[in-house]
Order: sequence, then C-alpha cells, then structure tokens
Amino acid sequence: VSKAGVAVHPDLNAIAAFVDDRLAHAERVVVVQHLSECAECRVMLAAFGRAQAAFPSRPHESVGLTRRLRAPATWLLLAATVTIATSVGLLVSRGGSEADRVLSNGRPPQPEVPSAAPTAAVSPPLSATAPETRSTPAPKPLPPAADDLTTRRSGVRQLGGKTFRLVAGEWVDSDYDPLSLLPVETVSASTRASLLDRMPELKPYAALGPNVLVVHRGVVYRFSSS
Amino acid sequence: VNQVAFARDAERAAVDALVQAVVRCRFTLTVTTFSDLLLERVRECEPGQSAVEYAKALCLDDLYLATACAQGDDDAWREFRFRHFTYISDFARRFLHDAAARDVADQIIADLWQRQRLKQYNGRSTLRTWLGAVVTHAAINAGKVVRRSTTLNLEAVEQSQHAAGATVVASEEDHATRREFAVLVQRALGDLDPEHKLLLLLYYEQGLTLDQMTTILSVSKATLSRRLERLRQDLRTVIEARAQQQLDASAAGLVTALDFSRLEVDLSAALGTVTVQKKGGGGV
Repeated sequence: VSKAGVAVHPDLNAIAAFVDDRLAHAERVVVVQHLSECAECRVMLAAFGRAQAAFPSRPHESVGLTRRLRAPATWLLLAATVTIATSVGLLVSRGGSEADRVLSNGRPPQPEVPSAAPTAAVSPPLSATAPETRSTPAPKPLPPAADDLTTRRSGVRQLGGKTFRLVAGEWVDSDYDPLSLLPVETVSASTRASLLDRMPELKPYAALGPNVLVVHRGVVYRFSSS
Repeated sequence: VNQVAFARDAERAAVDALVQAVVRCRFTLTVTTFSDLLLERVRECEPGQSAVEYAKALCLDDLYLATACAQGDDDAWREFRFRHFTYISDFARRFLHDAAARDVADQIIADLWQRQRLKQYNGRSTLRTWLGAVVTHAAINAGKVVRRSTTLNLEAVEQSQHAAGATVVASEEDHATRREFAVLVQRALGDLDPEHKLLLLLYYEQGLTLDQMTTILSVSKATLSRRLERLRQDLRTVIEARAQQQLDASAAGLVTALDFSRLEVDLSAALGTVTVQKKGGGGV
C-alpha cells in the first residue's frame, strides 16, 4: 500500500478482496488501517456497500457459505446427515425390492417358504422346509427392468460419461452448478428438433426424457416438455 | 540445478492439477497457458510464495474467464456478457438514473473490452465483486456520488456537544471546559484501533445501515450491532475516566452533569460532521 513511504490507495482488487473477505490477515490489517484514515476510500467502500446491499444475492453470502463449509462443525453435521440419509435410503430401497420384483417380473412374489409349512416362516429350521426347496435354491431376484417406475425409484442414470439425477421430474446433469451462473438455453418442445439437428451430440441426453438439463461446452441446455 | 529444476517441475505439475480440478477449461485458453500465466504472476507479485498456495487463494474460474476475455476469445466474451453485463448495468442503476447508468455501464464495458481492462482483475475476489468495485469507482469518478468526508475539528465537536443537549452554561469557564471535553472525545476516537474506528466511521460518518455494513465487512448484523454497542460503552468509560482525571473540579462536575447515554448522539455528530460534495445529479 505504500511506495517509498507515500501512502497510496489500495487498488480495486484489494477493495474487492476486502469485501469478499479474501485478504490474508496482514493484507487486511493494511487495508483497514488505510480505510480508517482515508475518507476517499471510505466513500467508495460505503457507496459499494449501499449498492451491494440492494442486490438480493450478494457475493459475501457465497463467501460466507464457503467459509461456513470450511468449519469442521459444519462438515461433521453434513457428514452425519449424509450417513443418516444413506442408511434410510438403503432401508427404503431394500424394503421396496419386493414391489420392484412384482413390477419387473409381472408375477406375485414367490414366498421363500412353501405355504404348506406356514409355521416354518416364523422359525425356519432347514429340516422343516420341503426337499425340493432345499435341493433347488431359491432363484435370485431378476434385476429390475428399466421401466419408468424403476427409473424414477433409482433416479440416477449414467450416460456418455455424465451422471444424471432425477429431480422434480427433470433429469439434471450432475455437472450442473447453479452457482456457476452458466448461460442457460431453454429448449422447448417446438425448438427441440432444430437444436438436436444442429447439435446431434445432445441427442442421447435429450432422449432421457421430456425434461432434461445438461451442461455441454459451458452452456446449460434445459430441455422442457412445454 | 537439478533440484531447482525438479522443484519447478513439481510446482508446475501441482498448479496444472489444481487448474484442471477447479477450472472448467471451456475456451481456447488451455490449462498449460493458464498455468503459465499464473506462475508468471506469482513470480512477479509474490516471488517468495508457493505458486500452488497463491493459486488456491484465487477465484480461478473467474480469472480463467477474465483471462480468456482479455485474450479476445469470442466464446469467453459471450459468457462474460451473459453472466455480467446485466449486473454491471443494474449496479450502475443503484447510483444513477437510467440514462446516466446506461452511459456509465457502456463506458465500463467498452473499457473492459477495448482497453482490455479485464487484465487488471487479479482473481483475489470474485469477478462480480471486482466489477461492482469498478462500477462504484466509475460512478464516483463521474461525480455522481455524494461524497461524505469527515472534518473532525474541535469546533465541530463542540457544536455537536451543544446540539446534543449537553449542559449549557453560558460562561467562559464552561466554554473552555467543553472545548477540553471535545478534545477528550477526539482523542478517545483517535486511540481506537483501526478496525473499530472503521466500524464507527462507516456507521456514523458514512451513515451505513447494519445491513449495508454486513455486505462489505462480512460480519453478521447481530455481531456488528454487539460490536457497536460495546464500542460505545468502552468510549463512554474511557471519556468519563479521562475527564475525571484531567479536568478540574468544575469541569468534572460538568462531565458528571453530561448525560452519557447521549454519547451515541454525540458520536454521531462528531463523526458525522460531514462535508457533502455533490457533483452532478443522482446520489447514493
């Protein structure tokens, strides 16, 4: 901030970094010292603050979020939440496997224990089971077919090196980050064909469903059924 | 020599890896070129610092976009236009009326493009914040912003004491006492550390609200409020103690008679004795 003993104003990068709270401690001390003494820079900072406060989304919030994410307590909380969510998800997934089999095979689930020996279901000693059941192991459940319901239940698709997740009826590319503020091109049903003619590499993604959001070459394409 | 070369190669590889992990290289500017520029910048600006640590502190994706724009990449400009042009115009409108805001925004965009002013962005903040600072600076330079600057002098403080309802006894002795008291207030303010002084100045001199201060100080509103309250209390204590110690009995009586709960008002007047220079129309 000083050259040959003469105090100079911090440049716009330093002011912006101060506002974003990205200065190193030593740099911040120098900038604060200057701001507390230089009315001209304070005018600039105050004007910036007034204008910035009027915007709904403010940069310091994202910076604050980043800083909050760096805090160990936040990570512990997040980790705990993810663990619980995963456990619950697994339980729900296992609980729903019978329903999947019904839907995928088109037949009712086969009881593992024959109905002739209902008591065995409560306590299934091997001797109580029917001989044919013992000799021929129970068939493994077929992998669920990729029908609509299963797709919705799984909610994840891998396609062309990309991962898509089903969110509120829309297949969303995992590369999509709303905070990156990439340009978004909305593709309606009427313009879908022309865009796909122009950019055939998007066809596999568009085929995922009527509503698809894919990030391609720095642009977000939002295919919409409307 | 080999060790130095090895260290440089390792540093180079680490910067490359960082850039690849953080930046979506979507323009003609390659990872290698961008890494070269980063390394060059570190050697110029922070010769002793590790390049990786330096790069980690930067908003690399924003810097990548700005660098690609500065190199004249059309796609980069398209993205820049999509992401930031509206923000520049909207930000300018916070200071100016529509037509003037459009002029300033156009001028800034022209500067960024034709004069390659984007090269000045160093990635230490987000590109958006830097653009906000650029717009603010341009609006101030255009003379459209009300300037508020403190002229903290004894007369002003004395007048503020008077205006704040301090015990007024129209005698020469009390007049002198008030002057001494004004000196005490001024010294107490001068003894504050810069961080606290800045807080008071932004609040009283610049007249920012707590909401506005949170945007530039990255501190929550509640924390700011607590800090200001504590500052006022500390100042009251310091001023009272010094007054009792330094002033004579009659002056001490005057100090006691002063309503210290009004110190907030006094501070407001003392720090907020602003010289308003208004050039042109509009204002913040």
